[in-house]
Amino acid sequence: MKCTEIRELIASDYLDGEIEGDARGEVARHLEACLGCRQFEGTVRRAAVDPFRGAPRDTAPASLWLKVQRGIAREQERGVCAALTRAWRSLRFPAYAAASAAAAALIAVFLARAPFTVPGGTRAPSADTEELQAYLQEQLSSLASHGNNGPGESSSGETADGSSSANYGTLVEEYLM
Amino acid sequence: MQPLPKELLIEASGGDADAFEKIYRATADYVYTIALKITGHRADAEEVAQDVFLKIHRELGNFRFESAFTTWLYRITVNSAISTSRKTARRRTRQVEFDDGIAVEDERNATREAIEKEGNQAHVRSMLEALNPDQRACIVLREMEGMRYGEIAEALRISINTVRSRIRRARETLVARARQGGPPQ
Repeated sequence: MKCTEIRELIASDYLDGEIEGDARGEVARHLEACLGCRQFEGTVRRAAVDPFRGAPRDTAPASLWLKVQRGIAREQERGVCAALTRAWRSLRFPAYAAASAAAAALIAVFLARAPFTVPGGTRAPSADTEELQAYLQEQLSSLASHGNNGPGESSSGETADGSSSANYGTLVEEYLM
Repeated sequence: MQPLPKELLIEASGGDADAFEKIYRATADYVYTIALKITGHRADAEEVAQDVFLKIHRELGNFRFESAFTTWLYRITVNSAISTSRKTARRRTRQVEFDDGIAVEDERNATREAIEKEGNQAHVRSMLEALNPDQRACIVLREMEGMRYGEIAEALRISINTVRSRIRRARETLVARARQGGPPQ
């Protein structure tokens, strides 16, 4: 190995004991023979390794534990508030949902039963409107029959099917007919 | 840092306050020292350490023991310290000067041993200031925590080659600084 490679190893793996066996032996033999690399190793040790290895460990200030405890208490308070908020929302949500569903159902029923127009302005036939028309027709026929064969009146002009063709003779009856 | 008993970690993760305090007592000085060496400032180091222990308290319940607790602790501490160091670099530079002033004032009544200790700490601090935060983290874990390259790589989630490269460049920087007339070797 060249001096540049040896010095790269000295500044990392060699001084940190990360190379062993043949590679470490080769660096050691090179150092015995090369004054420049030997001096480089000494400089690295003095300038970049030894000062750190003798440095004492710092002591955490007493106030740190108090700050940690306060921080935990704050986080727990926030956690309780968040849990209460979630619980409140979960309680309120069904009420909102039920009210919304009821409103939606009412609107749907109203829309389904209300007659609506289709493009072109004609009413869309529906079972309800047909039923209503049939009912009105039936009532009108009944009124007509009362006119021809009403209670307390003599049968006059009775048709073959039993219905009456005579009217009551009033404007209202004529209008209804 | 010595590994902590698994039972203690399980108790703390279940909300046992006494167990958590034991974890704190066993690791606070390590966390604070690493934070201080990387940030270079006591207030920043205290803030980092506080954040680290709050994070541990918050997330210990999710710790799956797939890696060592100490590895996780080193990772949280170093990442938080590097982040703080970058964010407060300018403020820190001004504050270190202020701290140095206080140290000089305090030394007037200090013992010889305390003076030497303070001198060594100031020397180490000035050396670390010459490095970038990533190099600083690798040097602190290697030199002060005695971690091997593989352990540093695992803690910082980087490759061994990156660890090797950062340590080598950090030492080359410190050697160059010494040759240019830096602090006495």
